[in-house]
Amino acid sequence: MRHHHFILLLLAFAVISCQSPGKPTLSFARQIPIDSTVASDSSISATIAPLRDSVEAIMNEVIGSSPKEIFSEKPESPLSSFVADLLKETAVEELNESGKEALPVITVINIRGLRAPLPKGVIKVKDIYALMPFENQMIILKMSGKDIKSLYQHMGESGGDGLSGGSFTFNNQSVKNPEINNKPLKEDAFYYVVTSDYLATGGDHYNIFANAVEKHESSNKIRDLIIQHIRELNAQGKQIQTPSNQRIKMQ
Amino acid sequence: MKTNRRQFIKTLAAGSLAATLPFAVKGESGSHNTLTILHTNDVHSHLDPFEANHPRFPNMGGFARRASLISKIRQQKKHVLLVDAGDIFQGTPYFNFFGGKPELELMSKMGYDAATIGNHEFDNGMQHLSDQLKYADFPFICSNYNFDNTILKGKTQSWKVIEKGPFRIGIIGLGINPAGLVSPANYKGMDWLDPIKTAEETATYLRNEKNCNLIVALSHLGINSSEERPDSDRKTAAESSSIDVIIGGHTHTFMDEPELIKNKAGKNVIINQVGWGGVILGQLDITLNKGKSTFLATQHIVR
Repeated sequence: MRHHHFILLLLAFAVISCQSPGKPTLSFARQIPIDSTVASDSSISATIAPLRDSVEAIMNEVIGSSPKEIFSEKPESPLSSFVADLLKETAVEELNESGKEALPVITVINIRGLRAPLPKGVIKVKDIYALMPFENQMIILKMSGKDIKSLYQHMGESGGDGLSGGSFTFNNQSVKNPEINNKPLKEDAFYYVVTSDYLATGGDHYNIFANAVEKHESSNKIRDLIIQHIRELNAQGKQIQTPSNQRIKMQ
Repeated sequence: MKTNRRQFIKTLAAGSLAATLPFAVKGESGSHNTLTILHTNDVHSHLDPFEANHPRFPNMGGFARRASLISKIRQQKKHVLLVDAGDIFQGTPYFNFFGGKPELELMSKMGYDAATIGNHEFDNGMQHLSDQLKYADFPFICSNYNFDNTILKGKTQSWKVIEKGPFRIGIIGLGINPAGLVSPANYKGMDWLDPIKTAEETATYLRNEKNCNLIVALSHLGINSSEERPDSDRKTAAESSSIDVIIGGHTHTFMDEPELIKNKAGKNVIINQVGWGGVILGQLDITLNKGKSTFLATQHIVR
């Protein structure tokens, strides 16, 4: 009898310890696809509708066309070269108009900031918003050749980025044959570097831009410059042509 | 349960997005002891469904559908916690034109309980973010972003306790290291604290001092550690002792099912993340268990 009591006591103890204070456990889980079988909430739809109308009116404007789909990928690509080239062109015009000293110009943009390819066929404003959703502005920096070599080094280490006006080979983790305007980079000379405010303030670890000796902030948003450039091409009856020359050789 | 079954089959039919559910459906989801966590992450201003010709998510997502799905689940479940793990902003022209206001207003309308700040919330600077936060009637929880020396001071909370039935939920928010990801000018003055250490300290405080019986971390760290970004949800789970659930984001990871990671006390931490663009709503039912664990590791039960 005493023995049985002991076992009962043990059992009771075991039950109590199992019931120890409400432990949260996962009893059910699902990842619910939100597809067309899910009804739309009419009040939310009604809130979005006028916003959509105003945005779509702007987004659906056709601004040009492209003979093929244009991708952006590392180390460089037709899309990054296209955007870098048009920024360089704009910057050269701005610099000429501002009467600043004439120095060679390069452009550096981050490939990760180009968020979507340009489609084949008609190009609408919305395609450029998909490509460049950020409100990034164009910035022109005056930098020494020595710092530009470090800039090339960072570009090489990060697997390449969009470059216009310059070129280099990245071999054994170091920069070889750095050039600007097809001439060897001079470490003691000065140059202009066109980039986005995002990179100029150290985004994507472009800390080297902090060494710039002069900074010229353009009021132009990069997205607006791309739209404007494609519109101009279209007005001249031209499709988007992507540059094919290689700027960064990764070895 | 009819809806559950329909949803379940639909889920299986969704191809690469399909969730195979290794979890027992216990039929107690509507019970008093169960909390249903509904969650999103990285919605990136996708107010509308993706276009019908989108290569990955044709005609999927959209705020209006999400809202109706959430209301339907609220009718079925007694206790619902609705949260978002950051990157609400940036990705469609709606953000360019309206600055995030409609996203936050509509999330408020859906009854979000809390969210955390992702790196893209900084895209237009802290003044902009501060201006937008007034459109959210839910709190932004940031445990490891110290905004005391910025314009965002007092506009986020380092933790929050939310009560739902028998649940006393401690919410923490874990933000990614902004270095190299956000323009330094856009987070100037913000102090980024070690997320794993802060998570452990805050979660332990909420459990021991604030008597929480469930700790939920809203994390924008990303699921997996890399050389460049060593802090992650998996690492946080493994090195913590008080967190029960991590709702993740940032890496846009479509998880087929939640993942369970043993923490340093040998207890399971639940991690879940639902891709991006608002094409999936995550649901985790957490039951406060008085008896044995109801978690059955590999059974597939369709009821």
